[in-house]
Amino acid sequence: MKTILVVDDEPTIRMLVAASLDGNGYLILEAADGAKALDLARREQPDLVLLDIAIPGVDGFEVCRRLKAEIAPHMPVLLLTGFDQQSYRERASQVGADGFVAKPFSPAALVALIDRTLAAPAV
Amino acid sequence: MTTNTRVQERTRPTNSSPGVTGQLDELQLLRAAAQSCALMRAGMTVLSELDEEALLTTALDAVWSLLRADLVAFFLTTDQEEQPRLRALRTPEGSQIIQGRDDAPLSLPPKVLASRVPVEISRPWQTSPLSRNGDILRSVQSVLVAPLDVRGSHLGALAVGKRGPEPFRRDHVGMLSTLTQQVALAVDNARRIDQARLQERRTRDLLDSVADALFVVDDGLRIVYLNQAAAALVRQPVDRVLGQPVLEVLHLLDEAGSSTSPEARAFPRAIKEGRVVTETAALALGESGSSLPVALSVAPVKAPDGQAAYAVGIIHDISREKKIERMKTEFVSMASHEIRTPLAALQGFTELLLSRDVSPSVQRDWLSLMNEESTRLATLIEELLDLTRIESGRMRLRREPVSIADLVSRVVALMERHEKRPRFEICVPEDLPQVMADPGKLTQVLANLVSNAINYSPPRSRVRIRAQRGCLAKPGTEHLGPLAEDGGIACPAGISVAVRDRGLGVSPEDLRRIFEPFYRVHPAKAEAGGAGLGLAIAKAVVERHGGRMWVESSPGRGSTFGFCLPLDERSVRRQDGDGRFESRPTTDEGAVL
Repeated sequence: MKTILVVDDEPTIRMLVAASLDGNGYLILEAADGAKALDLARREQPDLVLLDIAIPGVDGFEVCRRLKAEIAPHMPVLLLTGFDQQSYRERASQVGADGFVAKPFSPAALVALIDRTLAAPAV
Repeated sequence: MTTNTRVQERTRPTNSSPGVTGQLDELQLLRAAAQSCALMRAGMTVLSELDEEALLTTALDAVWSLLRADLVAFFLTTDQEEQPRLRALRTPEGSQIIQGRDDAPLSLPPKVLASRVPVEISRPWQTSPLSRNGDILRSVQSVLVAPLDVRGSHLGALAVGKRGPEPFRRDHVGMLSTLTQQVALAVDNARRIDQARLQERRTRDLLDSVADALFVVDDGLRIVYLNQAAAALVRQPVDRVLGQPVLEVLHLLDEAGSSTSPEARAFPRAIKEGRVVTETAALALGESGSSLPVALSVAPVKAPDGQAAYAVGIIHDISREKKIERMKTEFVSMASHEIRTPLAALQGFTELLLSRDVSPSVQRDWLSLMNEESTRLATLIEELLDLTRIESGRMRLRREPVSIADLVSRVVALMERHEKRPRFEICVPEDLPQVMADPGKLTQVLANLVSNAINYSPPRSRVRIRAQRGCLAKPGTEHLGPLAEDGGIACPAGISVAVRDRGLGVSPEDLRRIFEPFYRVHPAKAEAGGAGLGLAIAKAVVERHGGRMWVESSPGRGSTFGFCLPLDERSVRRQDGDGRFESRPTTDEGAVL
């Protein structure tokens, strides 16, 4: 069973992601801030991280950069954000994110993206 | 040869005694030539002076020695006065330049001074209007007055007096007329130069008082002029910049901060294309690597052949505009972010409900989440509209007398049911005058402060609400909060309301930004909820009432948020003054009178 770490400070969004993935055979871990996310990622080594950018403390960009640089270079990271701007997409690819999901999103499309990302061979 | 003949002709009448010898003739000729040389030299000296006073002094001496005069006086018109008045005088006692208008030691009849032909006055002290001149004229037998005319205008007259009994010789008259022409020309030149200098200084002062930086470049793009603001902008003294290529002095980068080809810049394009070219750029400042956003407008100055000979460039600092623009973009970005989050929940759960078969209890859970999120969305949109209404000045206040005690009890009643069970401590004097305010808006302000106090404190905390006449903010509090930025608005002497909590408190960094829209003190964000617009709205509402908002806080020890409102003068008089006025004996007024 694959593990997905969902990081968002909004409990409703975490619940929505969990509900979307429910029944698809994933184990869901949740974190509400950057420090907790890094800690969980280090300990649990999830298969994928779905990461909100505007989280308290260390922001999503920085969490992504550290995940890739210090914890697990091949762990796929999808950035999730309400800021749907070109500059955010650019920064997302700069910090090594594997995908970008803008809020609001379709649960079915999110699940499809996660499935696809996990199925792709690790580079 | 011609000159000699003319001199001779002019000098002939003066030695017209019959039976003159050839030797004498030759002597006369030599004398005339010497005179003519001296005259020319004097004329040159006078003409070479560019300053009016200096040239008058030189001319006094020249006339004095050439004509062996005993009195020389220049009468000149001025810009303000058409009547010539004494400007320079030489007597055996010496030369003097006369500055003042009054008490001139010598005056001549206006008719004489206005004459366009030479006038000779014999025994001037006998002429009645001249007798006032006393000692100066008493010593001379005759005065010759020659007009100072140049380029068709009459500048005044030169008066020469001689002590001897013999009248002026013809050659003296001739010399005098030559000299007066030269003096008039020199005075006119000096005045024109003065005028030009004055004009130049005025133009310079004018350009220096322009707040924007102004550069003038020639068609080779070298700086030929810059004003004070321009020198300040490039942080170099004017003379070091003059003559330098403008594009080397102004390090212009494009807005992203990288350099572009020089041909693309406004200065060369204005010269080349012969039209006004504008651009926005970043001006690199020195070695520091910092830059200033600027707007350039460069206009060509065309020569008669239609080619641009110069270009005038105005550089305007647009950092304020840029900051506002950035704030607007940030606002829109934050607003859309705040809207997208609840929208994501609504859209996401709707899709799930429509696409999946879930149990009624899960359905219920999701629907109640959606309900919460739609309420949040509605509140957020309401707040956003409020804020834009206030900022665009479209918020209308329905002012009426408001009792602070009523306001406080209304808000307390609203907040007492809060799940954190706050304990209120209220201190509102009974005799507090009413304020003229919009009761609904004021309730919103106080409710926001009280709910923040509860949200950022542990459960069952004490929240104290105080109100009083005058200012409740401690001295120095003005430096906290955004009002200090615009120089600190004085606390309006009126009524203050303060809400104090014993909660988390706010760090100095957060305090500086706490009234900004969407700003949230981060660790507490999730706990407190809301989009971070409450304080921004509260502050705007208070300021719209003519009041101001303040905050004092220290992390871990709690915060006090407060606002003061000005008192409507009529309401103060009605409430405070009435009794006193009635009790005052009517005779008081009579006694004063």
